[in-house]
Amino acid sequence: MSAPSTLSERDGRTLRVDELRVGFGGVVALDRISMSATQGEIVGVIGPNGAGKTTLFNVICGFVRADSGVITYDGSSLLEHHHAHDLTELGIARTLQGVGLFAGLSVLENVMIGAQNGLRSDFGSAMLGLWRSSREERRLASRAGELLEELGVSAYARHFPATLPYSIQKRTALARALIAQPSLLLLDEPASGLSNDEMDELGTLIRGLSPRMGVLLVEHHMDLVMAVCDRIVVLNFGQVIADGTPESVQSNPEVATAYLGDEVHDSVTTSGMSENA
Amino acid sequence: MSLFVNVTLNGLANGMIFAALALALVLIFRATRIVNFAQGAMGMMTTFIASSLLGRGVGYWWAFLAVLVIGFVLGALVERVLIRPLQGKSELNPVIVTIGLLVVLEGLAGTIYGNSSRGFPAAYSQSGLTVGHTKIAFSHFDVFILVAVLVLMTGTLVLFRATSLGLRMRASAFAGEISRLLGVRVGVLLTLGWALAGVAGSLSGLLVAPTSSFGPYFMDLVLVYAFTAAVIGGLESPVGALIGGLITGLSISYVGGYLGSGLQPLGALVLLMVALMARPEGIFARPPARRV
Repeated sequence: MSAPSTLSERDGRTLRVDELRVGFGGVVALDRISMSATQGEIVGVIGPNGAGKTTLFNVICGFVRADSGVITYDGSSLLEHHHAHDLTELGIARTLQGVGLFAGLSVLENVMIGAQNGLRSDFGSAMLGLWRSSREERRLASRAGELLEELGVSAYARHFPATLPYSIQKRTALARALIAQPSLLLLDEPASGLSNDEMDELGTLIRGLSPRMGVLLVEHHMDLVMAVCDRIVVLNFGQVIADGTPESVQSNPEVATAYLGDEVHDSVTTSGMSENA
Repeated sequence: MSLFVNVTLNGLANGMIFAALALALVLIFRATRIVNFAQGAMGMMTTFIASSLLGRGVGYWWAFLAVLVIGFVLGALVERVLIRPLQGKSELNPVIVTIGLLVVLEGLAGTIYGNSSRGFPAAYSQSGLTVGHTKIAFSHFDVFILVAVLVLMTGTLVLFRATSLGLRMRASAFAGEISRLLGVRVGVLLTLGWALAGVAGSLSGLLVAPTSSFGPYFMDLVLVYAFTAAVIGGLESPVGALIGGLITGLSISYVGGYLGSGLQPLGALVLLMVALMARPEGIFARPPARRV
């Protein structure tokens, strides 16, 4: 299946997934799927539980090996790199389901660790505490502080994550991904656990990230997905069953069937999909 | 009263040495969840290398420095050659490998240098200092022990708390996979952790050797004391290693001073049991990990 794009791929760096297959024993998690996401584009990846959304992210990040197929970003093969720590060098950052913060590091440190790839001080200067390393430290802390300020959580910079509300932890995780200044951001269920107001703020924030970066958004909250995405890819049982604008996906009967079953899809396609499928 | 003071001072010096070896155990455990039972034997081996260098006319401080570097390299080599290939396998495998390494190193030292005890010079005089008109059981060498271990501890804390390298090491210890996702080269940091532990182990060997029967097995009992110290401190905290080392050093010194030196190993084991029963997570255990 060829993946349509709302932006020309010449306009920015492109993630391209082609004929990707991933199996776990006898279970096929992703079955020869193809899709793309270009810098400046917000692409939603939706589907029922077990459809393969997070597996797709895990293959992109090198956590899971693909059986076959190709994933490239800006022309570089992600399957050949296959080390998670190479991702940031390619300009890809990811948030995790839940929050995935380091419990023993402060909020500020949690954000600072996200920019380690951009550090210019070497091992020797860090070990010896030379001025170059100290300057890097200050620069890093300053950048992290600015991001926390932008996301409205700077008051919690010295707190440890476990002591903070979930929404603050979520913003911290987002700040940690953004400090790396990625050109592609993978957001894995960023709205889970957020209130409606917080979700509105998140939507505004995600929209604001484009056109600096491409965003691949895995999310169950359809209101958010429909509001922010330029394009939506729908997975079901490891296969792409729809790829298009929010409007076209919303009116796609196969998508409604995947979410709610044959018996009720007719009524759903006329009234819109469930908010929290 | 003078017995109490002298026993306390003796416990303080010994406790600092236990703290150095406990720090080595902590550096490895917090990063890889492995108790390196060969840490003492690695310190023993590097101390024998120091002895060889001194025997060939190398100056004390050059030999001292060379052995710390050799400890660094030995620690890194053990991680890369013996431990890294076991990643993802049973947790028991690296434990058995470190026990095997302990046996191999002690056998190797016995083969090369012989099993009998020998002397090892101290950096400074070991005769007690005189305070007023009273000679106390605390020598210039004990002062050196205190300073050397405090420098080691301070350096470790500065590295962890005030540098981006330390931040990466702490993050890797908390969650390796997430750290990798953020661009941290976790494998290099694991090697570095083992290498720094090698330095701490070598230092403890150099500090113990002048005051004990220096031979292939002279670090065995020190490892038991250091392990006790590390457990008391929480197995993951450098500060915990220091406090645990002092508690262990003072406790066994009191046991030795008032009940007899033969009971010191038993005293350490009783202390370990009490610590495990009263506070199994240790005094300075880090916050529990969160599911991600």
